[in-house]
Amino acid sequence: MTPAGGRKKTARRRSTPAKGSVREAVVVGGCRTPFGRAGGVLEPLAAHDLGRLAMVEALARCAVDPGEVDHVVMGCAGMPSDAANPARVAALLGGLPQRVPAYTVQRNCASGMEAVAQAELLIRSGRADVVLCGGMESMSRYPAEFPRSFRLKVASLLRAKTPWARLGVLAGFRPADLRPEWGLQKGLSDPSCGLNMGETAEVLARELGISREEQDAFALRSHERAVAASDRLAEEIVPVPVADTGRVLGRDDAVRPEQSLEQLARLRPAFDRRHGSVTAGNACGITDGACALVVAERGWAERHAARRRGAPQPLARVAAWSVAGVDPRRMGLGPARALPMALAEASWSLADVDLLEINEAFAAQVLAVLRVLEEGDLLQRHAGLPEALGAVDPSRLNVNGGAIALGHPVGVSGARLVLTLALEMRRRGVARGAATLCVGGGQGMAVLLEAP
Amino acid sequence: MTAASGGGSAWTWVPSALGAPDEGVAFLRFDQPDSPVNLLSEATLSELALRLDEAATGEHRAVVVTSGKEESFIAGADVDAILAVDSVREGVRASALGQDVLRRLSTLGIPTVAAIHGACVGGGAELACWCDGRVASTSDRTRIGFPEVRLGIVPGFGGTQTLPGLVGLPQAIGLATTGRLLGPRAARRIGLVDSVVHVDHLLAEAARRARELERSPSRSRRRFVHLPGVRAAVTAVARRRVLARAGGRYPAPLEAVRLCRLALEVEPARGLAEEARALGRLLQSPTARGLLHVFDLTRTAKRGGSPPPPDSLVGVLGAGVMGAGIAGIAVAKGHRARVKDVQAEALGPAARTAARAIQRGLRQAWDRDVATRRALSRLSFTLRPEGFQRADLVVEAVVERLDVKHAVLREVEAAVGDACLLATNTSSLSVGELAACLEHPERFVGLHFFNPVPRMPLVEVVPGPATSEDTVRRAAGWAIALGKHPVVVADAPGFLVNRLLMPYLAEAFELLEGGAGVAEVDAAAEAFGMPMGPFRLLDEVGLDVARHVSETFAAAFPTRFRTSDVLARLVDGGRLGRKTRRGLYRHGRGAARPDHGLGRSRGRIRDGEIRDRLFLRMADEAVRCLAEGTCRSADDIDLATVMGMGFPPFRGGLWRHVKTEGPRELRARLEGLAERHGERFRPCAAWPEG
Repeated sequence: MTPAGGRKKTARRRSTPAKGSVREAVVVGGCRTPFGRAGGVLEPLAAHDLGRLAMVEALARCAVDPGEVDHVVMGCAGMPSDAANPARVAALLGGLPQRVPAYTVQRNCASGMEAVAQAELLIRSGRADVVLCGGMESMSRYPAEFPRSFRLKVASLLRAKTPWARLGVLAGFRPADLRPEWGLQKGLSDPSCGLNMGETAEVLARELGISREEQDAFALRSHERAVAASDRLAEEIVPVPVADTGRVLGRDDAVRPEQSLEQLARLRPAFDRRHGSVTAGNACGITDGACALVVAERGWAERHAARRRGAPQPLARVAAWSVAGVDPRRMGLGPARALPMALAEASWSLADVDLLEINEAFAAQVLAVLRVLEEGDLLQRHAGLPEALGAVDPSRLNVNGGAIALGHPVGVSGARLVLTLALEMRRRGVARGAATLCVGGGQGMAVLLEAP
Repeated sequence: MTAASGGGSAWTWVPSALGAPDEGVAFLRFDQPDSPVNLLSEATLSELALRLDEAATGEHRAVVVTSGKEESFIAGADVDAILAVDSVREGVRASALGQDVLRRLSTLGIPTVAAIHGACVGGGAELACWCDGRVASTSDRTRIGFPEVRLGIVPGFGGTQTLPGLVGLPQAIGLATTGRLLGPRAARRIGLVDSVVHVDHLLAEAARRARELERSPSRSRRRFVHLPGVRAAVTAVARRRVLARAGGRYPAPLEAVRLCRLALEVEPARGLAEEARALGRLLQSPTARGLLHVFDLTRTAKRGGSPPPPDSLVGVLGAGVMGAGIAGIAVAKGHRARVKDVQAEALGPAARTAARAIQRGLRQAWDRDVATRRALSRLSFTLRPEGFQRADLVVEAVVERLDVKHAVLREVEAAVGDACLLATNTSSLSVGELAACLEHPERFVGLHFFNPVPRMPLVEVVPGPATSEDTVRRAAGWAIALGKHPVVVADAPGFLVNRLLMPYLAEAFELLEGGAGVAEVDAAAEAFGMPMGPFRLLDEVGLDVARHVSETFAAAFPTRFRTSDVLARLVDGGRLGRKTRRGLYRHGRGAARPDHGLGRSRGRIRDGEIRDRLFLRMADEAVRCLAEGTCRSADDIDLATVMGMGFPPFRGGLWRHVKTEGPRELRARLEGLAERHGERFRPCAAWPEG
């Protein structure tokens, strides 16, 4: 006989729902850092520093103890070279117990959303009750590399035995060997099709006939909505003080309150100088930031809300999610395929969706998605795109602005869309919402949320 | 091993835990029974002498000296024994005894190595220096240094004679004159230790070093700085620096400089004899007696209090310089901290202030960069009330307004757990009045840190009328855990330190109005031994703050205090001190200069009178505090004045100063001042007779 108190608590028991029902994942709450322009206030902080801040604050706002977390999953598209698994580094720095495991996911622009999907999987499968998930990115800190030729020459220099041989190798060095290659530039290009992301947006603009004026008007709307929403956005933000400089970032600093159509119209196309229409003004900005969400099993979250002082009611249930592959040259159409898949899984129609977040990688890309959703695959090029779903009501789309105004820290945006959507659903008291984004390399991802 | 040790012995031979390769290396372990740390006293030294006799029998090839204590090597000589030495001759004899025993470590004929893990200070460091080699552990507790000068004496077991040969004259003088303790990183850099390894490898490394020394004994290096001319220049510069720092009131550092130089110039026996004589003489000086008194008080203050659990969360409300400092020292000490403010803009400077406190706290850590990063990541900032649920202590450091503090405290009481200690860092409001808004005032206490938090070693613990004894103990425990000396004081205006500073600062303005110059008054105070004069201090604190406090005092004690017209005029004119670059001084590039138009000296007041007027009013206030029960004991006055206001440590604190000068005499002088300058000098009835 073992005395009553003698049993060691080695493994925590997962809460099991009543027979026949499914374990559902709910978003308990979350928080993000402001998105800061790359090279700006947040530059001194690595991705895992930003992630740590968002994680600590998300746990605090949800009144969840670090020890209650079962798993940590964070998205990060550009892995810091000094933190091989940045999710684990951020978790340890953030004071999560060592026994709580962590992994980093990379699905390019959907990394943060993938982390939410992973949380849902872990919870549905009974492997976790509480998952801390989200994304973190320091685009400021993307490395610059030496060209391959330089590396090869240095390697042969190290191998050279005699002074003469060394001199011979040294003589072979060229100034071009020292020209840095920017990780940011390389990261935003797709080697499989040879286009960078802006060029894929140009493809869509050209094929679907999306004008520069339409794009600029959409971009302006994004800024205007973000400015109008700044107090609402402040609710999801934790200010980030930077110890090195004594500066603090309290708001998204890429939003331009004074933006005008005239200013946008003056910008030169960034990717196709002569004939293009995609500019720095109607594309998303390069920013740093992090976002963290507490996703938990519904029963756990309800008990938590009832028992713990200061614990919030869950924001939303993860109703469905999906990922789809599309043509890498037209990666911007990813949502047009992923969203219908998710809607089908949940048996919703587009009209059921009260709030829709489509990540604004490029104005041309969002407009292309809207057009395809409304009219079906116009050019019949993309076998597999579904039939027309219907028009999206602009008053339900990206109501608090989007990445064109706030910026798109690649691995974070997916998690931010879920957070922003869940909070706005609570604010408006609506039942259903969807968040979706396009993914470099030709994918799309979508998450559906339902009021709990 | 040679001799089985008896039951109560401190020094024992221990069999090697290392196995075959280290045969021949004998491990001599120091583990003083019935004592938490190892101390060098007459008893332990003579026992060491016996062990060293055994070692000389020729059986061993090398000796490694190690400690049996978990976290310390040798904490130095026994301070109680030092305090008991009551004649110069006795001091010289004690010093010579130690020298004779420890010196044998270098004359055994076989290599000796000190394996240092934990505190190795004073006599312990001297023992290590006599060994042929020294290895240290990477532990954060490993600290090596010669803090004797802080007690007004010099290293007396040969430290001044061995150190210059090991680390060179400039470093030796630096260590011996400042009493600075080095972590393993710095110790290795200057050559004080030969190598640094993790504690698990310490004995193996010591044995390795011993064998290395057996093969090739280390010879003293020829150093450029030891050439006669350079040597003289180095000592001259060092003397000047010491004089600039201490103004000649502390004889010990100057003696240390002289002795370090002597080590390079005369044969060892004479150098050691000089050292012993210097120690004997210094030990009887009033300076050493004052400093030893203060040391004794800090030892007592560090005991007591119930310590917080490790890795606790400290909540800090208000991201000002005080709040950020408290958060910084808390995370540097291994706790977590969460700082809340209402303005995002305040958080950036706060993060920087906290980071500086962290860097200061961890600068001697072996893995400094990692430790700093980890400490920084234990710190979080917020604008919202969540996240304080698990806090063990929440300190409020918001603006000094009762209504604001009440609102903040009510909010936080609702956000923390039942076991959380609530504290206020107020300096001018009553703890009792602040507690009035709380549901559980028994867990509320004043925890008054001084500015700048990382540097100032005092914390006033202020119980209100409803505060429980347990709360006071826990608050004191927190102060100690944050590296401060707690002193429990009553909930009266200004508590203790500011209460004693007030008459001093008020009198400075009276002097100014009476025709003394700003620089003249400051000079008199600095000549007395204060780190800065009253006006310089006021400029640092901020004249607006000073005026606020002054008005509080004028209201509380109307017969003795009034707010100076000069002060009021300066504040109204926007001259608030350093922060506005203009106060009593002009602060620009370079040294601050007294501002024109302000009390250019009219030369009517003697220096001695300035000093009396400043410090006798302070002394009278101390008598009142003691009589009113503002502090628990006269010792607390000494501790608080030295640690909280920089009262000259060599005087041993304000109360000891009164005792030394003679209360009867001081009282008579106060009566005299009262006749000439008014009733504010009238001594209170509680003055002691003796």
